[in-house]
Amino acid sequence: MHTLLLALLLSPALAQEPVDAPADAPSLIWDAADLPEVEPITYTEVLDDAGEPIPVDELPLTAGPGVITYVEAPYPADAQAAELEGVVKLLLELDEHGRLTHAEVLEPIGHGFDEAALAAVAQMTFSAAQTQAGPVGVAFEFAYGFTFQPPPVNPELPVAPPPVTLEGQLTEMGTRRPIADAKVILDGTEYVATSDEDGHFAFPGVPPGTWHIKVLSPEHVITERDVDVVDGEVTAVDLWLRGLQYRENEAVGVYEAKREEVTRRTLTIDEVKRVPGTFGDPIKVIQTLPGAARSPFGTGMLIIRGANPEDSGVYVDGVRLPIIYHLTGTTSVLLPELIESVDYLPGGYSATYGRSMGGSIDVKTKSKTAEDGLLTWGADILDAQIYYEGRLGKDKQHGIALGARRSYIDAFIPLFMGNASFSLKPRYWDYGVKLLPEVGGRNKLTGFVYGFNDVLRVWSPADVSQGPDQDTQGALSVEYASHRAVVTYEHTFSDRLKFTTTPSIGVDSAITNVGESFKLDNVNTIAELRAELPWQATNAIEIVPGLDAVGGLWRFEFKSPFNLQQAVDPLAEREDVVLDGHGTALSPDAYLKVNLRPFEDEDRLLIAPSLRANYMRLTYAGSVTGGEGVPPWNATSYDPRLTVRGAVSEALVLKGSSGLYHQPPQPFESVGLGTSLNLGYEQAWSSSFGWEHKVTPVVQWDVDLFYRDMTDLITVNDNFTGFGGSPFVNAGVGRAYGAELIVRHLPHNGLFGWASYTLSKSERRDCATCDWYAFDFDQRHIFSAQGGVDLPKDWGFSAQVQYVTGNPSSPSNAGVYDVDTDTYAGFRVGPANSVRLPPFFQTSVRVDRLWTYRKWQLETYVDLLNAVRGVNPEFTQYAYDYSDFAYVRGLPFIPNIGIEGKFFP
Amino acid sequence: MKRAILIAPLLAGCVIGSDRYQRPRDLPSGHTVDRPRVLAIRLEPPEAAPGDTVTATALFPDPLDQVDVHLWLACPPELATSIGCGVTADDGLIGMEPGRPPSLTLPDTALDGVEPNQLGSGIYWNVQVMGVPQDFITNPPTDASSLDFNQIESAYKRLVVSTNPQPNRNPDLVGFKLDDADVAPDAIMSVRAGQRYKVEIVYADDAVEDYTYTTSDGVEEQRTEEPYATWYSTAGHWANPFAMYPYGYTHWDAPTEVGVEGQLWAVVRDRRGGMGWAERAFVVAP
Repeated sequence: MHTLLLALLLSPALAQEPVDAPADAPSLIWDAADLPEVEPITYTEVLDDAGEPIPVDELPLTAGPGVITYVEAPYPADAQAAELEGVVKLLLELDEHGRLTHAEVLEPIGHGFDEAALAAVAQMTFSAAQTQAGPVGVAFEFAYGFTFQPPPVNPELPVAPPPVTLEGQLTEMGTRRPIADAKVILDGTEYVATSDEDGHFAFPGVPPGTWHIKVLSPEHVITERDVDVVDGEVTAVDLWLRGLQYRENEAVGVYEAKREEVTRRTLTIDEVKRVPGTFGDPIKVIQTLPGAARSPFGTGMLIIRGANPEDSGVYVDGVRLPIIYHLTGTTSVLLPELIESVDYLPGGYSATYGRSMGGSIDVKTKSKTAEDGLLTWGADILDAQIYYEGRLGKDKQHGIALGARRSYIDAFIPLFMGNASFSLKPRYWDYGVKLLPEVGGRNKLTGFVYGFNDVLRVWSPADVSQGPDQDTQGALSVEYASHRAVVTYEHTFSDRLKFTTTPSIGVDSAITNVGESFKLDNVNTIAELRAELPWQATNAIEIVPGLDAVGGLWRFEFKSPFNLQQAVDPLAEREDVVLDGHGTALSPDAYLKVNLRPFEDEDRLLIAPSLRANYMRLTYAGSVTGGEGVPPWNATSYDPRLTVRGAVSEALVLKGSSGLYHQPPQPFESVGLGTSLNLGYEQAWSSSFGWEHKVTPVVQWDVDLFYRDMTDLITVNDNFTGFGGSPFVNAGVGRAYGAELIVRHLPHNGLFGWASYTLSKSERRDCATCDWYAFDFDQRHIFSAQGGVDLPKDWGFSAQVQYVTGNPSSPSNAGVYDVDTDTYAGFRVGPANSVRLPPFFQTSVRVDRLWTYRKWQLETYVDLLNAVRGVNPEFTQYAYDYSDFAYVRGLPFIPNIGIEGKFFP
Repeated sequence: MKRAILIAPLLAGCVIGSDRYQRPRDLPSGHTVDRPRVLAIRLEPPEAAPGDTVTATALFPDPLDQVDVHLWLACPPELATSIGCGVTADDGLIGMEPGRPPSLTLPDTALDGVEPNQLGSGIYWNVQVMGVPQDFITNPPTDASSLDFNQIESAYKRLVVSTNPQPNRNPDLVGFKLDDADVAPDAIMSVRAGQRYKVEIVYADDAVEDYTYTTSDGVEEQRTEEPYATWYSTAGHWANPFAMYPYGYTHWDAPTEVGVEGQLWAVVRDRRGGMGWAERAFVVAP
């Protein structure tokens, strides 16, 4: 073997300075172990000048060794990390076959370079050096170089992201709802994250240190906080954001996407709860809308467009309510939390609603419940209530809402009675349970059970007389109750055909007692069925047949210590009158509505004719029939109606209506004494015309002109002589006409309000030839303005101003004393209802504050009814001898303080 | 601070208010006699038969001495009105006091035309009294429509005319008590200013009658009268102005002004047309 020191620089070009080997680097030697067998080599004899053969290893090389296979050594990790490079000098020995038999590091440079180079050359293959005689073994110097280069980026391989070092959760205070799409910023950096739908956010690769977090969400107050990121840990932070607006300003006028009624005014629940003086009752707020007259003592009677209170109907999910208000007249019988919307139809409504000549109030209860649950409780000077809504089921697919309320004024009244010689105990309670099960498919199903019970008792000790009449002594007790169970089912056959039905059952009872002498006990068991089959026959024509059926059993017991004649004769001997009656009632009214929308834009024009067929049948049994068989009473009537709405522009809508409205006799009018009823339907022809104008998206004004002509009104029969006759007759006539205006600012930017004005006249006459006189509740001018504003820090302020013409009154003067009755009979001066009480003026204000905590909210309010102590006469009271008079005043200044808590489970 | 400024005027308005209208409590009480008043008319007998003669007396206090003459009228049912008698003085005058005590002799035909089943319960004649000043007599109005009943006190009573074999009698009162102590008819009760007293009447033993009544079904029932008392005074206040038999008492708060003199009355009605009364004088002592 030739030992040939040969420096071969076979590595890539040296770019950096070689690294000096550590002084104490160990020598590295590699020796071949077992080499594979190879074929012997046949050499060629080469002679010298003497003709003698020259040994092969003494012959000069004709070719040096070569690299057949180069192996690149892995860059040592330490050197890579330290970004070092260098050249390792090796001594390599090849045999005649080119096989590496020995490698040795001549100059170690450390850092793993030596070992790497040695390992690499051990795997390389070489070609043997050549002489004239053949290959020969050689030893040569081999430099293996290492040049540092940054690791190449291979686009086909994913780059591992840095780990998350900071994450958090955004939650809304009070409601505990996760906040999505909020921007989370690390102040002073480019770190920005967006919270997901669960309110979660994360920052990868945030270095350790103190960071200032800022959270931006359009519906929440900006929240900032310092957080410390710790090395080697994931820092988690929970952030609670306060909402900018907690008011329920969701407009709930979603009852019908297609408007079919000429005038339908819809209020939001937050608006109605904040109108002062209404005790937060959504139905009482109707009185602030045009067309609704003011009811005495704020009792909430519905006197709409000159019609009697009993002439207007209140519906709950399509089922008519028999009694609307609790006996205090301050609150309706439904918990406000169960109500989703209240639609007020003063007139011109379609054949869907019947059995009334006046207006209709359509109350819709909850159609959805909070997914995560909501618990509220509240109390004010009148009552306390509790309410819960949420979802049941594995997937929270079934909704439930339930609540109850009870008054406690009966506990406080004794504190104010002082030395009064009588005791007073009013009490009421109500409840409601709504179920919204998810039934799947094309079906919807809801169930609603509700009811109420009211009691009023007045009594005095036995030796304290209650007036001079011997039969009015003893406790006065009034109790009435009502319960309903309603199911609503809807099936969608297709885009054009749907079916809805609302069956219900219920019981109503009213019991009145005065001592042992007087009793009136009335119980009605009622079943109702509503059904509609809306069919979109063409794009322009929708046909809606419907059924509005009511049936049931009625029963009453009546006991009186005297009959009618004896009641007016102070010297007559009295005989107990005991009457009872029972029977059935059936009224399967049917109707057909057609909604014509000839244009593609459904709101551009609506022509909606409808026809309602009314039928009622009553049967009688009991002593009220006089022991004789009284034939059933039945009557039929038809109500053709027409409604037209047309959009002149996007902002202006014209509307008009005309139609006939029939109303059956009231229950107390429906029973003849010993005879069949000879009454028929009362009727009214009502027409209206008006327009709606949207000044801006949140400001609009409406005008309605109306005329209502009433005939066959039921009046007292002046010729009634007693049993065997009818106390009432259809002889009355009435008319009402006027104009209504409302200007409204929809809830927006923390401001809401509306002002309404009605100019109207309503008259009656008791027979066709009698003189006209003003309707008892004829109020020429009715003005009401109310509104509220959200103040900073969750304060709220709302106010109401009302001005109403005084009610009519029949003046009397002087009197003659009836010695036997111990009373004076006054002389009427002028026609009935020919003078007016002074006008009504009232201002009420409300201040409320909402405190929001992480898991609950607390609202407190002070509602000052009649805040400036307007003295508003309600009716005239005369002196005992009619020589003088004074006004019985309406509600005084009443401060109502309330508190309400909301929990979000 | 701003909230306080806002709330303060509201609270002030709550207190001040407006009080321009008279209140019901300011109206004169029907149980305080402060002007000429008819409190009762006693007919003797209260139930009469055709041909009977009936006399009348009125409890007619006149604290202001405004009435000079009591005019008495009577009329049969066909001439009766809701305010007494629709007759002129010429047709229906039965008395004029002072001078002519009222007396009515019922005609024998008083029950002619009445259904037989109604004869027992009877019909009503009206007996009316009007207290008028003297110039009403010297210059009487020419028609009833010109009468101003704010200036004239007028009252009427029903006279039962029947063939009842047991006609009703007036209830009599035989005693008067103040705080359970008997008070003689001519005594003047001395009461303390503002003090509450129990005032009680004593019914005669036969004041409350038992009688037979035939119902509309023809059933005879034995019944007992249920009289009641109504209380009046010229001053002071009644805790309860009515007292149902058998309770013959009530409570009266004496006037608060010392030296006031006045009267108390209790008028009893038996609900069948009979009446009686008791009266006592009082003076408020220091």
